[in-house]
Amino acid sequence: MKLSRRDFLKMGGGIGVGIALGGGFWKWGQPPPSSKLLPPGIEKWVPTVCGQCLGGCGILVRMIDGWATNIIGNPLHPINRGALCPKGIAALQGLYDPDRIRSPLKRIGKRGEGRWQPISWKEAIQEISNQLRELRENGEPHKLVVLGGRYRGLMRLLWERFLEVYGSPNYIDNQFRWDGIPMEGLFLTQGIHTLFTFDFENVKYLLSFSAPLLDSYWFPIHALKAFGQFRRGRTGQRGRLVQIEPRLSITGMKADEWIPIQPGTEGILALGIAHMIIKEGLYDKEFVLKNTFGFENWVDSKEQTHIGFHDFVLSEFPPQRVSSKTGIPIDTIIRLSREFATNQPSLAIGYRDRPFHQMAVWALNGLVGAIDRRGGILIPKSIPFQPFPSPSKDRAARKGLERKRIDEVRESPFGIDQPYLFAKNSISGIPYRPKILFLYYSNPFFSNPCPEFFQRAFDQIPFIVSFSPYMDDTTQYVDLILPDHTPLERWQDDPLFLNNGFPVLGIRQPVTPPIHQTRATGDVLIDLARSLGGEIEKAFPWKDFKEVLLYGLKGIYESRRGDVFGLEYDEAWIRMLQRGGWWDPSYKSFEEFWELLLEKGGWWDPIYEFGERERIYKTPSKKFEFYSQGIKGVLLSSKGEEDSSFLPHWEESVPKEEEKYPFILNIFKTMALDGRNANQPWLQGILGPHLFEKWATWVEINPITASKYDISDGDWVWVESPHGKIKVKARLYQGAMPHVVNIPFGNGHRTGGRWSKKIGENPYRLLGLELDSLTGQPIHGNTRVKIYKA
Amino acid sequence: MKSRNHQSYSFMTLILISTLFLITRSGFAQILPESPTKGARLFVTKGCVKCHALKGEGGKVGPDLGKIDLGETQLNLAAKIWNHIPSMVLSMERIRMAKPTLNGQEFSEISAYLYFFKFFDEPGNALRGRALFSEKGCLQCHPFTGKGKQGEPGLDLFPQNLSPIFLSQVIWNHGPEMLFRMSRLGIKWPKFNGTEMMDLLEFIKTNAKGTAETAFITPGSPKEGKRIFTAKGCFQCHSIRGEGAKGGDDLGKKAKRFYKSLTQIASILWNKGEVVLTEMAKTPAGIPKFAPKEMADLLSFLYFLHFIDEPGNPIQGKRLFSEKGCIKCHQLNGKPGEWMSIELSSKYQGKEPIEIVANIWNHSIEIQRAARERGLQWPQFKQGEMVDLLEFIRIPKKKP
Repeated sequence: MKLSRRDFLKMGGGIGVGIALGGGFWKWGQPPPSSKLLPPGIEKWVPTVCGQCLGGCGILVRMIDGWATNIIGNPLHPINRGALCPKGIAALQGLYDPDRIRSPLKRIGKRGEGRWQPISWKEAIQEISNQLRELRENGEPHKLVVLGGRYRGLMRLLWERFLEVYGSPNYIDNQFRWDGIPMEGLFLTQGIHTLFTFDFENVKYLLSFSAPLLDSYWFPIHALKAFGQFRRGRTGQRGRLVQIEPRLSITGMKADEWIPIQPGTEGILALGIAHMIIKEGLYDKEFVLKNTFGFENWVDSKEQTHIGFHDFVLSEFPPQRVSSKTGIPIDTIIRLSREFATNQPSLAIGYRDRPFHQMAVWALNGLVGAIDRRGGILIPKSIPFQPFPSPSKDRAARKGLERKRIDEVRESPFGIDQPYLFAKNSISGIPYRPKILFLYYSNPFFSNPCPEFFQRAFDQIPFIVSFSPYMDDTTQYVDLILPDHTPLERWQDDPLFLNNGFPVLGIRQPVTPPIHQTRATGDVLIDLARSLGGEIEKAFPWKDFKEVLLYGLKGIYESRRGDVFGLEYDEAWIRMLQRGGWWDPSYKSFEEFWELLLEKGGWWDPIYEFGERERIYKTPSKKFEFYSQGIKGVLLSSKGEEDSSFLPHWEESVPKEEEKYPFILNIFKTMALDGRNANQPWLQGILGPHLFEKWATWVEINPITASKYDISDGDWVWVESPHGKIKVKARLYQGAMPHVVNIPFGNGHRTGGRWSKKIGENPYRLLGLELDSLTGQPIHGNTRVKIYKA
Repeated sequence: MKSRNHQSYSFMTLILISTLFLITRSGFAQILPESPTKGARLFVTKGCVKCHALKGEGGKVGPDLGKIDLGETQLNLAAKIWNHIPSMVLSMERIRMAKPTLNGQEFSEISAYLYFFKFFDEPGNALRGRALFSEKGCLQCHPFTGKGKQGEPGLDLFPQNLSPIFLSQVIWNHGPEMLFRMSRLGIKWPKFNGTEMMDLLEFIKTNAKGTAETAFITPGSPKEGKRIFTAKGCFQCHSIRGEGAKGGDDLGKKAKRFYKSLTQIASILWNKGEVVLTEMAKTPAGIPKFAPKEMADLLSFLYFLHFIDEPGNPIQGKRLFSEKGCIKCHQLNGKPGEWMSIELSSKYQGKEPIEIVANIWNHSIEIQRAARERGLQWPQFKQGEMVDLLEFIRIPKKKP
């Protein structure tokens, strides 16, 4: 090969350009210096409160150059003390979900069709305020309904205040569902509607009636921590847990003993145990004598004798009868009653069963004196927020508030809102039909049994607004969407209690500015009030929700109690001070208090005052009631009712079409999904760790039963009830009872983002509308199904 | 010649020390703490909490400070800390914790905080309190419900959230009236022993349903309490270590008596109430009234009386300087130490003893190393020795 002078010069020039551009050939094969491509970002950790479930855990979000990159537990937050569950970490995926609603959307197609037009916030607020103004002008402010879901704190007061000055009595609470906290048992025995806690970390013997302690407890991390303390935190004492449940759950696996039980019969088992405790004289006689009402037979002011719990239980619930209904051997019932009564302190925990079944479990606690004691049921003091000033109401508001609530809750014995009655009455138009509906943290098309029923109700409502940050089954069906910030982008208070009754207030602060054109619903509500003017505007003198929060916090500052979060040592110190009547906070001014709240994550008052009877018993007798005078007083139909109606008793579900539908359906929840977080792939990946299940809905079938039906592990099967059918994967599971099939709740969203839409099935679609007459909630263990191969 | 000079120099030094000792003999050797709770934050930030617990909460390496007796004077407490420095350092190494450094102020605040623990009452027994309510004659005037014969409030009308300090304040302020009524009814002035007043308080707390009292107040300031002690006329009868009137007891000499929980101190005052109130009524100023904060400050002052050391004896200190082995490293009278020659006089002259303690604490690892290398056993201090030694170190010495 011959090189010409021109070729040589060309080559030289090329090399020169190469060196100039690349810094020499030798560099081409080297990895680029990391300092150029990945410059060190500015890191900070921002304390806030996790919003993935109701647990209220304190978190620290690692921010690098304004991007949230990691989440860990806040070691100072007393709820979780640095621990965190996978849900907490997955909040990052909630924040950066590519399918979030990015701006206000207006429906342009038919309802549910999914055709939307992005609009500005100004237009959106204008549109709602026009609708609201028109409704008031027509003298119908009561036809505004807010369906509120699961959240806590001042935001609820803000909604109620808005409705009050607007003139509607219709805030419908859709958060206390059948899988919630067993509220009615507390009301029947102690006359209390507010929240309570189980101090189970300090008990010696824990009898759990299907309580999902380690699966999907209402405050998961707090429960897990408490369980650790219960088991290994006390030198020389290891708590014993007996889990009575139709399915071998994680709680059952971790328990000392799992006792399978026919679904829905936990109440009668509790009564059978009470029978044996009374029969053998093992109850706490002093507590029963001094602190209870209705244990023995009693005579009322009209000289009429009433049967007490003692005689009623002895005559009605002998172990033979209880055994035949529950499937639990007589010997086991006798043993459980002896263990429960003699291993003090003991505690019985139930789930949100029918009210008198809950009461039966509560009665066991009454028998052993587990009320307002260490290792018992505690009634915490509320957070001392500064109350909002009483608002002035105009004529339209006063008239609107005189109207009946749409769910007729004032007639409800428990004073608990009844979303099903709201839906039913919306369909029937009696007492009236709503005209505007606001949905805040509520997705009834998915998370309430029989979603079609709600859809029929919504068809009757002309204007529906959702404040959801994500598209969901219900939001898909509204007219206007005003997307809220996600929890990592907004200000919010999170009042809660520890198991030992200490009030805790977590402060949720934005870790990042809003990623999209979303707005905090609190701010939107204040804007709406401003646009409506008059007394409504005056009732909201705050600039935004942050100001509302600061206003409420003043009450805490002035209460001269508690302190900002600190170490466990600080807890002991504060407690020691307060017990002696002293208060020595870390702050000297409100401004300092606020700064420390943001730095540490919140405020708490680490003391529980035992023995304040006025707080503990709000029943007519001012005692623990085995015979519920409270319910008797409010039940309109109580005339002529037998005494047994007011004592803990068992209400048997009538089996229907047992031959056609041979299995009882048991719906359960896992820790990863409770219906809200299906848009987070990390959680979809850990749905059912006991069966390595992910990204799916499955049905757990006992292997012997499965073989009878020729179903193999992994087969696709139809599960069909009289109300619907779903196609799910069959999983053979030794922890399933032979005649019970178990399906997890959480998947099966019909719409939503790429990670939740049409993944799995929603078992609530198998449920009908057989509701408990007192609460309007569905009845557990009442739905039967059949299974066949798909 | 050299020996004679040395003898005469030593004699002169002794005279000087003795004179200074006599001059400084009266009053307090340290300043009363302004707020005994200030040390709580330091206790956490300095990492003490990593090793020590307070009633079960905190580190498990060292002793639980809520369960041991810390009722020492400040410098005796410092001596206790000194004595267990080797084991403390070992524990810190085990948990890979750096020994925190402290200045005099911080050491003072932490030691006041530790001393403060005993001030807190354990909850009383309401059942025993109920019996006492009747036994001590309270029931004769205060029925369980409603009002008494002379309109005295019944138990249910007592304010809610009654804390020990409010009870102390209320019984003092109502003392004259109670005394008058009791003598008219022929009721003997009851005496309270041990935890009786705590039990009574617990019983009252669980039954009181009157208007809610402010549940909590800021802990008292011993320093402010000293001012209250004077302002309210307590000095007219009582002296503190020789200062004040001679009519009553010298409270400084019986200071340990007040190293008790608040309610127990209140019991002491109550038990003397009959005499005290009668005597004070005779004075031109009469019986003073106390606001809750004033009562808190006063009781805190009484509690902290024992915390303050008597002035040390430098003559004893000089002996200890030699006996404890300090002399082996530190110069004395210009004479170098046996092992090394670290000059102390100019550094610590006139310094507060607690400043010196903090300095010793900060370089204790070096002391320990030097002692270990030369086979010297870690010196242990008995009661009162530290104060004497520090007094010797801090007083001016004649230049050789």
